[in-house]
Amino acid sequence: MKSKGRFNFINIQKIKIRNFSLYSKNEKTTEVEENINNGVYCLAGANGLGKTTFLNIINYGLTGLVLAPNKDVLLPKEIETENKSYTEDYFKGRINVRDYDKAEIEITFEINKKTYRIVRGFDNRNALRSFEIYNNLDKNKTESILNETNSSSEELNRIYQSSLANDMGIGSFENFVFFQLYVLTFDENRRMLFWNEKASTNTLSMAFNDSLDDTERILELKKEMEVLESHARNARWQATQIKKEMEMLLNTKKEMELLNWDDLKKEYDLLINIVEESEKKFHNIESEYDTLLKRQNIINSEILQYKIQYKRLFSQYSEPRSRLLNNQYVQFSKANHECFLCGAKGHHIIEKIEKNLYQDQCPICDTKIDNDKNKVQNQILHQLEEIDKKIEGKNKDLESLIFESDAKKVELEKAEYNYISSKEKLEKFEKENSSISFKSTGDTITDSLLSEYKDRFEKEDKKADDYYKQRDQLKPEYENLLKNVEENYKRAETYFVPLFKKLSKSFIGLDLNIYFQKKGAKNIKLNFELLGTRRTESYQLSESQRFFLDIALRMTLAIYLSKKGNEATLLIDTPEGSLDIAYENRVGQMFADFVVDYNQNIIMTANINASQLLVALAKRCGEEKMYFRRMLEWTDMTEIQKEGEVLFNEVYENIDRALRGK
Amino acid sequence: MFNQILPEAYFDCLSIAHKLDNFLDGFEEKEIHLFAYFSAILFHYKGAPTANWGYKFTIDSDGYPHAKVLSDAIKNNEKNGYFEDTGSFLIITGRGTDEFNKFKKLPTNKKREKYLDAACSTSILIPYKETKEALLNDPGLKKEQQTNNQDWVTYSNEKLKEITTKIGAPSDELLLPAVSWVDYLLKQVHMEN
Repeated sequence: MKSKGRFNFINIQKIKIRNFSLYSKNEKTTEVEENINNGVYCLAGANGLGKTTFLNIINYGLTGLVLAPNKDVLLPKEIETENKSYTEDYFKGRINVRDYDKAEIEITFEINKKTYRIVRGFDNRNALRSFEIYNNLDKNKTESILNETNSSSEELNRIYQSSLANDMGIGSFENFVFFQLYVLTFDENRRMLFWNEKASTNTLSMAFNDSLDDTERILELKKEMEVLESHARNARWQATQIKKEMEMLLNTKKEMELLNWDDLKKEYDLLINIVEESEKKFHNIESEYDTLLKRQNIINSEILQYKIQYKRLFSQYSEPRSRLLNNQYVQFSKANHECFLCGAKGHHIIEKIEKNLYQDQCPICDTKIDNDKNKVQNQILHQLEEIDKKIEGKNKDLESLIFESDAKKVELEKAEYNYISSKEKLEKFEKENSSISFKSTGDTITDSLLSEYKDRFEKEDKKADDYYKQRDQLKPEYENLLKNVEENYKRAETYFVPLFKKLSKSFIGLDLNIYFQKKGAKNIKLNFELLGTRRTESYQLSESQRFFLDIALRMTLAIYLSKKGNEATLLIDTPEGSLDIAYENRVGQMFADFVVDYNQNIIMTANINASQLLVALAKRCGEEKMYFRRMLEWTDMTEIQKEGEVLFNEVYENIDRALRGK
Repeated sequence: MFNQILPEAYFDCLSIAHKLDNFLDGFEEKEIHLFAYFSAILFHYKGAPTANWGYKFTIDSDGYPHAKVLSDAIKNNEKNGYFEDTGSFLIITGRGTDEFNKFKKLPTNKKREKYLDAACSTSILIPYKETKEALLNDPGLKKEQQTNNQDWVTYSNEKLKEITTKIGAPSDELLLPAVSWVDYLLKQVHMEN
């Protein structure tokens, strides 16, 4: 199956950054003007020159936002609210006060056979200073097809947002922002997409839904359910507190003991936490157990295959090999118990003929007739031995897998028990705090206070029940929509899976399995299985392995989702990180596959070091598909950097050579 | 190595062996897996959750479905003298047939028997070789081969539902959907060739 693509991604052509004081050389602000080529655009510079800022400026220009670090993944609708104040502060330290009003970013990009040109100032993230759209089919491309000369800059921004969402085909600008900032950008925060259940639920439901309305609904329902759950908990907690107040009124002795409500609240929160953790653990172990069963099944099928091969070969081995076996005279003698030459009859005739045949001798003259036999037999024997070894090896694998599965099963039962008993504990806690007998004290004031408390308690308790009920009512619709996502993913698998396997293999050098996991019906995610090691969970991979598998998945999504002629651009910040030289080379190959084989684009930054990643990438891409930009031309260097200039030049030249050497 | 025998697999291989042996005089182990898989497709087609079948399949390197629990049951049946290996294929013995007759009376097995019977009976109406060729072309198996992802095989019944709706197959009947499915797959094979 070939993917037709779902979205038109933007293809950046030009970036201009004006009056951005961070980029200054010899006390003069550099006017950055970069033509962005197809393929890889790599901005390389020493530490602290503003490489990360450059990527953030691009994203700011496109979305009006910079993501705040260390925040949990958000729903598309929440991104703006949660990041706007960080965005506003982010540029303040990077632009001089005197330049702040003048500083701006201009981006020209192509999408859906149109060229967009936007200018956004850093003083107002919700406005565009200029916005034009040109029709690419119009050869002159001189006039913007937008006729919005009288629009305010805020209006321009709104028109830009709706036009872009429309041209991209992604439903809403918020969805674009999510995709641009979380999926297509891999920044210094190393936000993982596929090891974060919220991020993967958002992404998968956007990528594998027939209708974007369904995606919206999934995300809405998820949020709604979470909100209802939290309301229910709050109401229940409120009820608990009221109950304690009543108890205090009734019993002053008890009052002393119960003064510390915080402890009770802590206990309640702890119980909720334990339920959530034990549920997660149970589902994880369940998935690991399933993987072990699957591996057993696969190895068993391999053993069966080997056994069939063995049987076939053995029957070949045990057959008499004489060429005379099918001879018509010999056949005649065997059928009639009669010598075909002299006509003598009797069973001994057959015995004699067969004996000679088994010894590879002519039945008449005893001449050796098949000199190759021993060689062939030995060859077969050798093959039998090889298969036998394989069967033995596989049997050992199977045995240890069965052993492992048995242990995992025990673990699973334990996890299930823990999960159920933690739920029971929570229910018991809630029940204990909702059933209370109300005595009268004989004191009228206290009694009327008690009755008021009772009313409030019942109200809160009912509220909690109602919220839980409301949440449960949403569940079937939510689960159904997730099922649709799963079915769509299954349909896309024949294209998506081999693509991911190819990219990840070029990096990790091993075959990876990837499959859809819908557990606990709250979130959906993709699971990996590293072959040969029988390891499934994320913590079983090293951190850098996870980074690049995450990038491989983003690349797969980009290729799968992009329509022809509207390929995606990934923004990757200093990817080399902690890789050793062998892996650097492999990552270079993976990036090159992405741009050379699938015509996608990367805008990346890199430190100046002897990175094999850049050399490998440059070699595969050549000047046609990669532009290597020295950042030294934008900014002043520190003394240390100046000292190392010779070294920097060496690295640059090395990469330049690799580029030209294509 | 101790393997616990799954009751569903135990019954399925007895039942399939009994039928294939009747129609064909002998069977191969792989064919048990193949027809069990086909039965599971029909089970799923009738709207039952796949997990309720009792076991799942992966594919082997020849593109046949494979369930370890069936393999274990077959080995067990050979050991108990229910199946006999004649060298080139397996046959069900008299004892095996008796065992099958005993077990098919159990209510849970009666339910399974409907699907197993429909799956195997296709061989009466369509030449066995063609049935096998068709079933190996099943989209679930094909997909696993293409993705080479070593995952459990998933059943996709949309096409089968579409076909049976078109021909108006009665809802309580299984042989017609089974035959239509084999027929459809066979046409796909011929189109590909």
